[in-house]
Amino acid sequence: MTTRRGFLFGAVAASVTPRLSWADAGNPAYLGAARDHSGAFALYGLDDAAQIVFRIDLPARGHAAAAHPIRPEAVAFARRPGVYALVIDCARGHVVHELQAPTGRHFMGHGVFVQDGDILVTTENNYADGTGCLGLWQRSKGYARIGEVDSHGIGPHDIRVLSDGTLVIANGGIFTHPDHGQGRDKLNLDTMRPSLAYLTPDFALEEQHFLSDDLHHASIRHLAIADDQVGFAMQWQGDPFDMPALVGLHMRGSDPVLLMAPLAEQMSMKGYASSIAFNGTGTELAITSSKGGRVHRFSSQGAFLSSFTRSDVSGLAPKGKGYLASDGQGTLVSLGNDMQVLNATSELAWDNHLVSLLHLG
Amino acid sequence: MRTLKKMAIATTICAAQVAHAGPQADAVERVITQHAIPAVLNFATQTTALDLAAQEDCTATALIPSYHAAFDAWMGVQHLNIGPIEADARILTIAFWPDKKGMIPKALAAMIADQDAAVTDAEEFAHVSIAARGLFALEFMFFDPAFDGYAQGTYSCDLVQAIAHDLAQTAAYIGDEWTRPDGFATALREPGAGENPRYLSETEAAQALYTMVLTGLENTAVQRIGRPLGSFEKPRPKRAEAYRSARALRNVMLSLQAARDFTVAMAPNPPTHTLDILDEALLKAQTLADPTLGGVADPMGRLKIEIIAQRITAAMDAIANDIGAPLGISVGFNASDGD
Repeated sequence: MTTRRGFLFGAVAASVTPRLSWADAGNPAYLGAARDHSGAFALYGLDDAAQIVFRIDLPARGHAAAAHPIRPEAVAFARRPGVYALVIDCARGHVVHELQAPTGRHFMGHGVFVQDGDILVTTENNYADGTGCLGLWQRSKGYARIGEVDSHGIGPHDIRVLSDGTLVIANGGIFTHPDHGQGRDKLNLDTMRPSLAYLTPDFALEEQHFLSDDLHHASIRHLAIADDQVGFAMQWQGDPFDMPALVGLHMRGSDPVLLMAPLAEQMSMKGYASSIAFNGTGTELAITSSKGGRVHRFSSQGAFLSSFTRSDVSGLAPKGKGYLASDGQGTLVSLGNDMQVLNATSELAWDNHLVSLLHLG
Repeated sequence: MRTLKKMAIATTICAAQVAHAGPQADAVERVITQHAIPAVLNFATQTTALDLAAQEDCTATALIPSYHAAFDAWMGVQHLNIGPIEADARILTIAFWPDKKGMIPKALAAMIADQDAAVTDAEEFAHVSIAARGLFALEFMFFDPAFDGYAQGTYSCDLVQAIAHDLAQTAAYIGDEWTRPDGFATALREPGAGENPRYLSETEAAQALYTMVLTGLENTAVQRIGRPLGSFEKPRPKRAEAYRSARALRNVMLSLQAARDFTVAMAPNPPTHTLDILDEALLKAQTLADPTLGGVADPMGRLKIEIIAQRITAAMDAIANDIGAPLGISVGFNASDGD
């Protein structure tokens, strides 16, 4: 909708500063955060073969990052209840902006660029009001906060954008407050009501889905998109032996479909999905469970395909017909019909997520 | 790319060959030889004995002693929950607990009603629902009034024989997976070796074992004790593990004993602090004299059981000092703190 304005701004910017692209940052295919052997945290760029192409210091443990679609810029979010996010110039290797969440809000660890990369949308906990919101930051104004909108649910976590600019938000449903348990105590488990919300490109609620009442403990956390089909991963807040579904598929206009692995496999996930990704061709999707030390693959029609065992596995991103997965022991593996170790720099404990840059082309 | 990868693997193998026999590798070796392998072999022996006894006389009365011996042996290995015991969900195939949805009696009743022919073919029985297999299916057959009155020559008799045989086969397979030349013990001993190694460094191997003992203790505190405790307003004695065969407390004690043996084997120095706490918990459990943990429903009994759970949590902290710190290992980065 603001393509024209974004385009004009891009043209102006080009005339004053060199136009850097992801190629100038070593053409990373993935971003991931990790803790090194000295205990220091950093953001890493990885090439398609999972080799490190850049490393930039982070002041503390991160969660996920949002990658700019064109410029070699990544926004690294502090873990909940962090109030800062860093805009990192991945070509020059330094922080160019520090975003500070307004009073009464903190970041939830995820964000996405829209409007040709001019607007960064961040998921936030408006703990002052007990609601979830999305912060809007404009890159062409030096990442000034230009507003905020309702996320239409408590605890918005992951956020993605569909091909027509529609936003998808995983409202996890869990209320936390920085004054309780360092912002990680879950304060509303009895009444939590997670949802999948779709917002138009100008941030009006277009569609929203809640799971049935008996599944209200299924915190919808993470999202993956392929051909505008949404995969969502959940973290069960009830008894893990309830054997809840941990992953679902959704197309706008229809009801969400929940996917189950065979009984024993389902139980092995410990009621917890860490990350979700479609494969590079969109024919299947997978979830990781760091608590279960497992990866489950499903076809994009919902059939269970197979399982991999890898202790503390968490980060997951598309790679060709399969996936790239990371774990806390410093290993990056490719997953397809089998598991292959691509990088075992075991001094690095890879953090929760891997961010794919491939689809940004 | 391909060449680089091959070089990387070659380098790792060299590293593994020169770097063995550090404190981590020594600890791994001690756990394998002093603790894990004797325990998995004992489990195979006791389940084979149960299988043989069942082929002789399948009735509940005849088999209860061998059932307890096999269950005792299981408690000696159930915490080795990474590797062959965990793979292909064997842990649940052997011990389907907790059965929140009451799937075991449903699965058994359905097999009996249908006279399911899978009982006559071990290969086929290995593919029936895991709810109808393992120690907890046997517990229903031996201790639940809806199932335990069967006679020799009945379908239930065939079913018990099939469950016992399947359990023995699973246990034998686990024993073999641990001990065969390129098996799990080798994967722990020689991290980074081979085409697609399970563990890539000595640290990873040591960390896998360390995670086992801590997860085992956590399971005992949170599941074996925490489930029946429920809340003060709503205690859940029927959620105790194996309460039908009055093994709930015994299982807590045997799991603590197994963690004790594991800790003694793995710790680089005498783990006196951990042992003090575990022995105190074991003594408290012994004096409890409450085989089913039914005491959770009584305020005084409840308090005593809660204290045991607290000592187990304290033992986990002590293990971090006695094993984790001196060996430079910790539990999973993401597993312990996801988001």
